[in-house]
Amino acid sequence: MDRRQMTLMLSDKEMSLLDQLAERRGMSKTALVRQALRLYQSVTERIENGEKVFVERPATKEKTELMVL
Amino acid sequence: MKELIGERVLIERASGTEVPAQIFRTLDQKNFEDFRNRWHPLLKARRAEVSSWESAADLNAQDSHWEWVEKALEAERMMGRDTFAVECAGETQGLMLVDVGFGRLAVQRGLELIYVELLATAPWNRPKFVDAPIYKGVGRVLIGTAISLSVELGFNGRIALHSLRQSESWYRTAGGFTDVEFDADKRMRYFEMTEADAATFVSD
Repeated sequence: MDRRQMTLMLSDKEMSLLDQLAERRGMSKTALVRQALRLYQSVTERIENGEKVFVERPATKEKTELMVL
Repeated sequence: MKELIGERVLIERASGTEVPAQIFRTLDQKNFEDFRNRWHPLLKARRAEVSSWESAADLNAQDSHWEWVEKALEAERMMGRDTFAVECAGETQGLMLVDVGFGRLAVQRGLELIYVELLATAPWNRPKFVDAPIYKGVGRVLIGTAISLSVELGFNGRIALHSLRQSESWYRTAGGFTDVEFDADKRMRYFEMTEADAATFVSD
């Protein structure tokens, strides 16, 4: 697969979050950014298609709609 | 665009000889035509021999309703989705559609993995579907491909799938998966492969 390079400018807070998430999930920062893109595309497509995306608490079955800001 | 990503071998069952096979990422018109003209008529005919989807498991034909062409075209638009084909002797011998999901097993709960949404070997390679299946090893090649993709995306080999009843025993034994649970929503058993399972699968 072809790859293209870009420079990403992040604030200290954003970089710190990227570091923390990558460590928690056992992924490289690049892999984490790619995964974030996948999720963002998936959520965006569903919402644009008129679907709703929910987060459910397993214990109570309470559902909260996921909002994309 | 279709891309050759690897070469493997399948076993020709009648002679026991190894036959070269190619693995492709992203299906193309050739795969679509093979499915429409070669796979689908056989699957449809076999499925028509039994009255229920449940009993189609006995003929290895529970996937006769899978819409490979539509699913593959949809997958091309989505970054998380990928399709793969195994070709040998000029024909499509296996197909796989994958997505990205999250682990359920305690050891990898919530961690990213490759979720195998659809996986099928050509009808003429299936025991119970035909009296003399032609090639062996298609499923193994495709599962190995899913593991490789998982490693490539930084998921360390973790993969998962829901299995049709006709394939459960393969995933549980030869496939090296952990049989996690019966998923009531999908009405199928759910299987996962951990990083360690994947390393064992690849080294075998």
